[in-house]
Amino acid sequence: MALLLHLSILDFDMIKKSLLTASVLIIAYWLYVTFVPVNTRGQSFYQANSIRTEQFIFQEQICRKVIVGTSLSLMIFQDSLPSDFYNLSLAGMSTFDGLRMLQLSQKLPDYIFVEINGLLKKENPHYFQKTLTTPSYEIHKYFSFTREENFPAIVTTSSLRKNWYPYLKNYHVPEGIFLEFIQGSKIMIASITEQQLNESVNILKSYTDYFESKGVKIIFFEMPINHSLLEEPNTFIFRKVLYKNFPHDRYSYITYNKKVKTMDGLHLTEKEGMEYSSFFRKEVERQLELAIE
Amino acid sequence: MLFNSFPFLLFLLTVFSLYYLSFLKKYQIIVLIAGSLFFYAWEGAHPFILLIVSIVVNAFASYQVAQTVNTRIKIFYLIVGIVYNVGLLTSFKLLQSLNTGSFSIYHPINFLLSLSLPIGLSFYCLQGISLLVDVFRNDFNERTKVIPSSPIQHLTRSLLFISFFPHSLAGPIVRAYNFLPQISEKKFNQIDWEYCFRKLVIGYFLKMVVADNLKHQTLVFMEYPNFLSLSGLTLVFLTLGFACQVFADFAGYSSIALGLAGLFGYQLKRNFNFPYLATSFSEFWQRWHISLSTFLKLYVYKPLGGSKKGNARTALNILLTMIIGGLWHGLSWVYLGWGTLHGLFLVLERFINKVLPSKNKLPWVKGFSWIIIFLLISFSCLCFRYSSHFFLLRYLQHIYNNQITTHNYDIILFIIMYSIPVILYHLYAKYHAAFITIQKYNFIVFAIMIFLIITNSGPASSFIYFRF
Repeated sequence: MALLLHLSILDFDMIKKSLLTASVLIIAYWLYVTFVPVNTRGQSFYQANSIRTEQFIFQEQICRKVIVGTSLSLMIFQDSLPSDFYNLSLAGMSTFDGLRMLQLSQKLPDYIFVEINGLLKKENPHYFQKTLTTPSYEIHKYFSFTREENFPAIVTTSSLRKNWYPYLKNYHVPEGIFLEFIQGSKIMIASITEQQLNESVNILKSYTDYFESKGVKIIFFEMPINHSLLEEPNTFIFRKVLYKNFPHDRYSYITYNKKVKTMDGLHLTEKEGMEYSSFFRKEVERQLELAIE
Repeated sequence: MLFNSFPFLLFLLTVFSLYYLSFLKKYQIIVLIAGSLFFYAWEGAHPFILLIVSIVVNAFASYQVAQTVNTRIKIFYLIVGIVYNVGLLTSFKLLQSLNTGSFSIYHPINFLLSLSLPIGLSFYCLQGISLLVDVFRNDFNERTKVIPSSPIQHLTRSLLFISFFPHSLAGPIVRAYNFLPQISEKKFNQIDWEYCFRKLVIGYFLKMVVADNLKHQTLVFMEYPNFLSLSGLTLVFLTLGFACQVFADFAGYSSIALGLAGLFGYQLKRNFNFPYLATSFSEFWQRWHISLSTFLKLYVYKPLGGSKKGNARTALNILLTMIIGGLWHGLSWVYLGWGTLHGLFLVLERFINKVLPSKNKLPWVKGFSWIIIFLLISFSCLCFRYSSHFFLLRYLQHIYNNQITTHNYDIILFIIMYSIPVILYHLYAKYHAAFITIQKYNFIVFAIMIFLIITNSGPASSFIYFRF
């Protein structure tokens, strides 16, 4: 108490003015982002992940269909999907992270579309624990101006950046680098052991059991990648183990058999992404109609 | 415990309140030591035990150096202490460099390799050396009883000197000569609030808004193989952005450390003095990581003979000092290369200054030198990004090779955007006089920084220098 009393009588002219001005700026900005919402895009993959998850957690309505996966599934464009879809794919992370996110947030949809390519990556058990339990979560919840989508840096540049997405359209890597990407992916796939494959399937089983017990339906899909990667022995083994544990008579699968063009062996080009998004939407409609019949 | 975390905020409020409570006035040092040890113990048990052992060894050796009359025994304890610190530091750095996963999991060395480098070790080992050498040289002000006759009191003071939480994890490296005389009772009304406020706001802004947001770009896109597909121009921007990130991260940490120490009545020496204004390498090293360069100058370069033994020996001393400085960061080819490169730059500069002494005063020469120095330093910063020289060389190769690839304007935009504060910060220092008339409106700049800390902070991450 004595300390506080002492603080109040000290001359903090510069400090007081700074804090007061900062408060005015914050209030003005809060009003701005509340009344002039801007559709922002993250400044990096990781921030885009945070924005995607925050928007999912803080939105009031519950989406009926949620896609969980990796950056591969981000080529299923949200704009080309019906409004009851939410693409919760997370770049640089695993499919399990999306499942964990759904489990922790308790915002359960009717259908979860699970990308099987991302099941070979390990989940980061601390990522969402942090996102959903730290004080910053509470702050983001009640003070919308602190959310990642409202970063002044991305709000102020959103209109500028909207016009230069041709980067993705014109994305091209020289042949040599493309082959190096493919080689890197092959090494990565080859390094996966049988034990890891079994572990992944077991973890997936625990997630699917949990969601199914809550009445959620699981549908698997495989993102198309460079055909040479599909011929890797581990890819065959993994599919075999997966189909054994999640048989076709109990689970639906969305598969795409066309050869595709990719940017780096794994990620579809924008054109292929559009085509695949359209296929995915139609295939979902078809499978759901069949299920109703 | 990160300076930019909620647990730290709680910790700081608790220690600060207890420290200035009137009925605990007598125990101020104990409160600060307890707080500092708790802060360090947060990092884990094994680093904590090692810290305590180090403090006890250094306190014992320095006490013997101070109290023994016989010079030979003094030298014996001095050497034992220095060997302990250098040996400890080298052993852990060696283990860190061997930990590449190349040993079989059944190899007995794996137990040792599992001991990761304790956080702050590189800093407190140097402070231990400073304690020993400063006590040996008896550099302290004669009127101050810096080394008390009671061993317990000396141990207590050494505990505070080495474990003081604002600098224990990543510096600034404090010299015993500067710190020990400051240990005394502190009064709440003697705190320089404006100084602390400025240091803390600038520090948090540089770390949370500049460094952590630049990291968004450099962490992902400079990673192998991601950089392979980026254009040469984008890679150059990433390099410059990384140089700004390293500066903002480390200078931010140092500024926060100065502000925090100020809250407890201690003055730490500044660690950065606008280094990217340097127009020569020697000037750069007077402005960058000042506490390390001062340490190397006083405890390595000068004992080697400094510049007093002829041109060839001076060049060798400079080179050796910089190589030691490089290896202090880690025992790897990359850091050896970094230290050697900076050593060679300094030697070359010394030679050029001798051959062309007058021309470096011309403004255009200074401007040109500034560009060259900034670019060379920025590119040498890549050594802190890549632990393997393979990736570093591939990165440099692709800057040259990827001329036809499309530029990624998103990366370039954010690199420029978050580097601007670093540029403005340096310009403010350079043209300080021009800003004097509007200095009364400084509070607006601080208000904007606070606003951005709250609304535009990147993901909280540890400081780059924590891994050294």
